[in-house]
Amino acid sequence: MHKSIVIDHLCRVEGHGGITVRIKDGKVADVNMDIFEGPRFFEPLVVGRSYDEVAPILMRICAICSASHTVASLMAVESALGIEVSTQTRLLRELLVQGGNIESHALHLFCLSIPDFLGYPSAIALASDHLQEVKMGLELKKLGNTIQEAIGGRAIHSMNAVVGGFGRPPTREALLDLKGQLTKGLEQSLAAVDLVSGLEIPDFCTSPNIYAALSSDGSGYSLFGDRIALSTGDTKDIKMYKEICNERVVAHSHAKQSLFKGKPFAVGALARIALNGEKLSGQAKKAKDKLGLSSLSENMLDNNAAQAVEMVYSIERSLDIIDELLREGIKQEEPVEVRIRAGAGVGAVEAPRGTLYHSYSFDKAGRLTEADVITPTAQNLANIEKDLRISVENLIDESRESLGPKLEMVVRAYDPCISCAVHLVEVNLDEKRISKKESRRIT
Amino acid sequence: MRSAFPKKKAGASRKIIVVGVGNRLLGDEGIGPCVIDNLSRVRMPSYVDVVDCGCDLLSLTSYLDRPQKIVIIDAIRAGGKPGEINRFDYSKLATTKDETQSGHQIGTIDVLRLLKSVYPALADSEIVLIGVEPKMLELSTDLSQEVRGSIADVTRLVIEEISPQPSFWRKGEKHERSKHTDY
Repeated sequence: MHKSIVIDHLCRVEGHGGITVRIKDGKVADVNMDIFEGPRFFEPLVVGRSYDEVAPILMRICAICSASHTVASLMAVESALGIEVSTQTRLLRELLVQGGNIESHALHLFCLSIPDFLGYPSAIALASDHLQEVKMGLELKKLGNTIQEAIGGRAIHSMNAVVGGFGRPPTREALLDLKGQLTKGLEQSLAAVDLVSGLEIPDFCTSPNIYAALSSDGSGYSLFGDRIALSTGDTKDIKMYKEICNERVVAHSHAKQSLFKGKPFAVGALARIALNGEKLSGQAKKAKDKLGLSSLSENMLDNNAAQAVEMVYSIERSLDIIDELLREGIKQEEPVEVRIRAGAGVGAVEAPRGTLYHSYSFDKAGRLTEADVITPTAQNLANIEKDLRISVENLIDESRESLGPKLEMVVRAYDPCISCAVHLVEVNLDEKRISKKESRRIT
Repeated sequence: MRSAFPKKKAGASRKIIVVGVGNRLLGDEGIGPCVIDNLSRVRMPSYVDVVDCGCDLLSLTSYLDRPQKIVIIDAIRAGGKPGEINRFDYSKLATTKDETQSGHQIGTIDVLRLLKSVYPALADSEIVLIGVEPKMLELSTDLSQEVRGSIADVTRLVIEEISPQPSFWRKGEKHERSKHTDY
C-alpha cells in the first residue's frame, strides 16, 4: 500500500509542476498539485505603464496563448477607455484567436497527449512509429501559426493588433491564401478526429464536474461572450468574474485556486462543448457526435476529444470569417482614436485551455493602476486535484509505476499551461564532454 | 541602410535561420529575443531569416524550407559565470545519452530532435546553439547587468555564424572576434 506518491515534475506539461498524494489508513488523505504558476504576479510589470503598452507586455505571458492574451488585454483596455471597435476589427481578432486555438490544440493533442493514449513516452518516440500522424499534427500547429502571422504580423506575439484596431489589415490575397491552407487543414483536422476516435479513453477519473465557459448571444458556437455560463445554471456578466473565480491561497502551491460557491470547476474545450456544444454546426457537429460528446461528459480525459472537435470548429469558423471579410471587402481603416480617461474594464476570451480574464484600471492620464489576470490553468487547479483524488481512490491497489503515469495523464488532459515557470536548457560540462542534463523548455 | 554583409556566393540559395528563444518576462530568460531585437536593427542579407519565437521553438516549422543552418540563441545554464557565452554544436549535444524518457516537457533539444525526425529537409542542416549563462530568472522585463553585457558579443558571434566562410570582413576593417567558448 502506498503511503505517499510524489511526482516531482510532470512530463509533457507546459511549464512543470508536481503531484503529491498522501495516503492514510488505505484512504486518500491529501492531494496537492504544486505548480510554479504565477501569471497573477505579472501585474507589477504593467502597473504605471501607459494603456497602449499593456498588451505588448502581457501577450508574452505565454507563447502558445499569446493571441488570447493579446485580444483579452486589448478588450479590457478598450472597455476601460470606452472604445468601440469596428466589425472588421472584431472579425480579425476572432481570426487571431481561432488561429491560437488551432495551434494550441494541435500541439497538445499530437505532441503531449496522444503519446499517452498510444503508450509512447514522447512525441519523438511516437514519430518513430507514426511519422505521418505527428507530421500532420505539426502541420496543423503551423496552420494556426500561419493565421496569426497573416493577421497579427508575426506567428506569435502579434504586433499588428493594437488598441482600437489593427496597424495594417491583411490583404485580400493574404486572406485567399489562408483560405486555401485552411481548406487543406480541414481535411487534416477531420483525420485527427478519426485518429482520436480510435483511442481507448479510460474512465478512472470520472466524476461530476461543474463546467464554466463564456456564452454568446449569437446562435453559433463562439470563443467570445459577455456572459459566463455555468453547468449549475448560474450565469454572470464577465465584469463579475471574481464571483466565479473566488480565489483562495493554498499553502502547497505558488498559484491561487479558484472555487465557485466553494466547489472546484473546470474550464476548457470540454466545458465549452458541455455548455455550448449544441450550437456547433457543419463538420464540427459531426465530429462531436462521432467522438461521443453529444451528452455531458464527466470524464476529463474527454477534453482531448473536445479539443479535436474544436480544431475542426476553429478551421470552419476561420473559413467563415474569411468569407465574410472578403464579401464585405477589406477596409484600410485606422485604429479608433483613443480619448484617454480614467476607467476600469474587463476583457474575456475563451483561450485554448479555458476562459481567460484580464481586468485593468487606469488613471486619468491613461496609466495603469491595477491589473488582474486570471488564467484558465489557475481556474482548473482545484478541479485537477479533485480528479487526482478520484483517480487515486479508484486505482489505489495499482503499483506506483502504473499509477504515476495515469495521474500524469489526468493532469495533462487539462492541458495546463504553467508558462511562467523557468525552463531553460541545462548542460553539464564535464572535461569538455557535453551531456544533456535536463531541458525544460516550454514549447 | 548599409548592409554589413557582402553578397553571398552565386548558387548558395539555402537559408540560414537565426532564432531567439525565451520568455522576455523572466529576466535573463529573455536573452534570445533581446539579441533578436539587436539583430533586427541591422539589415540582414536575404538568405537570413531572423525570428523571435518566444518560448515556442516549434514555431520553427514555419521556416523549414531546407535551411542550410539554424542558429539558436538561448539562456543555457552550463555552470559558468553569468553572461558567459558558450557555442554548442547540436550534433554533439544530440548524440549524448538520451534522457528525454524521464524528461519534462518538450525541451529545446527535444524540439530539434522532433523536427529532425519529422522533416527530412533538416537532415543536413547545421544547427548551432549559442547559450548565455543566466544570472537572474525572475519576473522582470530587464536582463541582469552581466547578461545585458553579453549582447554585443552574442550579436557578433551570430554575425560570424551567418557570414559566408572563410571571412566576409572587408579588407582593413577591424573586427574583434566574439568572446565565447566552443563545444
